[in-house]
Amino acid sequence: MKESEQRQIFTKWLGEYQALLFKVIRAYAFTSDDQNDLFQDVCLQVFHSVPNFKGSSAVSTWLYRIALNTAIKWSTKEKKHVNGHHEVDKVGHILEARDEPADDRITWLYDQIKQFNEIDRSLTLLLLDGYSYKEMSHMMGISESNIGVKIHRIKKQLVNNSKQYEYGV
Amino acid sequence: MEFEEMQKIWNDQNGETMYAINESALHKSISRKKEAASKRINLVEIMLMIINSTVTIILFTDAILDKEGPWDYAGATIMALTVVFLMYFRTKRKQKENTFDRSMMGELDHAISSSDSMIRIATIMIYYYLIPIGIFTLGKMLYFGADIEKWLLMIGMFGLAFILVRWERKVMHIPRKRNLMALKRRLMEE
Repeated sequence: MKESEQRQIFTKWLGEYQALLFKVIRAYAFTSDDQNDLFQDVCLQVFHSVPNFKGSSAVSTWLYRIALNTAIKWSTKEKKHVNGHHEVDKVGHILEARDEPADDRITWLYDQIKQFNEIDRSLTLLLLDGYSYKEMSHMMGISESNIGVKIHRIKKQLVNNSKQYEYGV
Repeated sequence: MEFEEMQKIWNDQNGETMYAINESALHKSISRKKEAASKRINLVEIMLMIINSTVTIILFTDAILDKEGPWDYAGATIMALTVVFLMYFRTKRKQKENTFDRSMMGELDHAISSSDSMIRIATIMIYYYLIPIGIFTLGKMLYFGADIEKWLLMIGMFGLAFILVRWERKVMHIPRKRNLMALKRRLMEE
């Protein structure tokens, strides 16, 4: 595949599925510098993956898999930006956060997701986006029953915490 | 709030744009990261290949010029074989680099096995190769005598290779493997 063709497909995917990538970025990276760093890593992997995409799954599933795997591996790196001392990439910021969503509950949901470990964060994103246990099992490489146990725990925790949120505790 | 309601709230965000992308900066960054990533990975392998090739050439030249017997040829051959081994390992690593259809577990297993082989190779390089070859080469130089420049060059080469391999093992591969193993445990636990 020619690089120009690869770039064209990448730009198309980015245009159509950026919301999906943003969800992963926001769930795994919490400072502006980290979000930029992770977004660049994810985009680089997505760009490399273009020639390997054979259409055996939906593009969204393909991108979710790449974004989550990249985010999980990225999270094992040393955190460089938590103290705000990291030198920002020379090309400057690629992502600029827009205003917070109109619905506060979205912000609350992301705050909840952040509290899960790296693996449960992936599952929560997939669950909220309506993936089936079978699809999740395929993407994560663990059994459907294991997925079921984890999902049950995640749902229970979210619903319990939402009660505190609703009562403003 | 019931989970179904959360899902509905979640889906509503699809209509909003969370971030604005600076596309030209992104494309520049992809090009830079592509180069930087391969530079970082290649650095240690290429440095080791250069160091080992240089020592191989020195040993072979020594063996031919000084006619010091089969031991010099043996040392040089072992050194040359390590260059071939490094090239083979590098090719295998590059072949495996661009696989994107693995599950998360598959990806973690692959990353753990890569870290594992890097740790093993670093250990073999230090204890079964660099130290014995270093002792053998320096011992030979001590026995037959050598110029100060050659002493400095050989000690520098072996020292640099030793530091590079140890640094790579301790700073890069061992902590990474530990983190990956912890992630795998979290993925498997119920």
